[in-house]
Amino acid sequence: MELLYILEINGKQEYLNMNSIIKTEDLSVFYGKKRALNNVSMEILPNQITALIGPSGCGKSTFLRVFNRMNDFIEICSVEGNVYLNNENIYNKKVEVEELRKKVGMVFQKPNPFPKSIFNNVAYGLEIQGINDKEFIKNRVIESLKQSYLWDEVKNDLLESALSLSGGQQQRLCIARAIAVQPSIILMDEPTSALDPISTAKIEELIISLKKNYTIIIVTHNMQQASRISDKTAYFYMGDLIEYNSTEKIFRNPEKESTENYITGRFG
Amino acid sequence: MSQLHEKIVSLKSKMMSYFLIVQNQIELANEATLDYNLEKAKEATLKESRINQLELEVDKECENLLTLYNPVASDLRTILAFYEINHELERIGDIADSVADYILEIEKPIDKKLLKVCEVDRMFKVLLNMKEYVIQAFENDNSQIALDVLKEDKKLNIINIAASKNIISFLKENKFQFLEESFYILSIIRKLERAGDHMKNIAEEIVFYIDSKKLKHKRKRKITS
Repeated sequence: MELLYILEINGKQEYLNMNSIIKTEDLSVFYGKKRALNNVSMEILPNQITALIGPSGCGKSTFLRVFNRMNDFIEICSVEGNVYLNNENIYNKKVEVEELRKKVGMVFQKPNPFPKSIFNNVAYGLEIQGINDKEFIKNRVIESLKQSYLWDEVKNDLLESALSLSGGQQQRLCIARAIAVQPSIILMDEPTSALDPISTAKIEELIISLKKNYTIIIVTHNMQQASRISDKTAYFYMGDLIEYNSTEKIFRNPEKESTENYITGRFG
Repeated sequence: MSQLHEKIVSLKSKMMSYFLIVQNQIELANEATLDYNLEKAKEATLKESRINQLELEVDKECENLLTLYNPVASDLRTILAFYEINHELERIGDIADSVADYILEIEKPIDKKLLKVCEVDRMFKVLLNMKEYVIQAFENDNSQIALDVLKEDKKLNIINIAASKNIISFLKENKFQFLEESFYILSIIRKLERAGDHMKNIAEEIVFYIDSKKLKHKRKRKITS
């Protein structure tokens, strides 16, 4: 899965060979007879933020949920094609979904903390993995809260209910919960759509800082957000991957007219 | 049509009238210089305040579009290009105004032989041709026509380079009889050459917003997107 990757440095194109962390081959997803994704082949590089954009119903959230097999919860959903995570086909029968979800964390549109304390929310993932070492859990909780830019705000209230936090804080707590189990990939489904601009800015700053250690795939309807934070952008329309390119290219001069029409608001 | 596109179309229409005012100002400066027409010279200088006002209006509208609509891709390129074209047009207007001012200062018609030797009439013709091309290119979003402007600019550069020698020869032949006029003519030639550069910059901006290609500082290099 070596990908010839083109970087533009000081106006010169440099060619790098990088290994993709995720690869889909002719991926199609169906809800019953309805095809939601149509033969999507795409490679995602590690430690990058990849934004998935497109009008409602274009298949971007379906695509996102393929990577941690969230679609398995939907009875009528079926998947064709191959999805590789570090060269392993995640739809192979031998793959244990729980193990997969340790590697691929997810943050949803609406913050969804458990009705537990702030500490226990972050510790939850570690505990259900069977980790009993209290010191280890404590250190990991602190580290995750720090990485999520939440530590300074909650360090004196760790035993308070997570539900007492503001929306933006709850979302950062959900991110802390996701990273506590140290996944390699974090999926984000419109993580700031329910937040005010200041909370959104904090989450965006956090997402950018997380890419040092994680690969992030984010679905967003906010074009400015995609252009601000992502390295690469994929535009979907009616189940097809229309264009996948560097974010700069997509927002400066996209190759496809359909992409241009969508990002400039001519339709969608 | 989205609100942003309606605003861009409306701004473009305002800029078309701006182009035409500047074109008219060059025509007036042309007639003032070649025919020593002081009325036309005065008329040219009177256009200056309207052009300055238009520059401020276009500036403000571009800034508003950038701030309020977060344009991307071709919309962003168009607004950025309009912003640059706006300033280039104002500078061309300044040049036409300066040329008209020189004519008002000279207080006598410029010798026809001197004008001919220095090819001032040809410079005006080339400049007006360039103006015609940029207006057509801008109005029809045609980058091919814009590229023709770049060829025309070279003609102005050649006349400008030869001007000093031509004037010295003319002065020697005429026993330095037209010294004062010669200084004015040399200044006018330099100004017209500069106006050609601004016209070329406008053409480059048109190519940029239509084809997403940067031509700036790439005379001998390949055009890249």
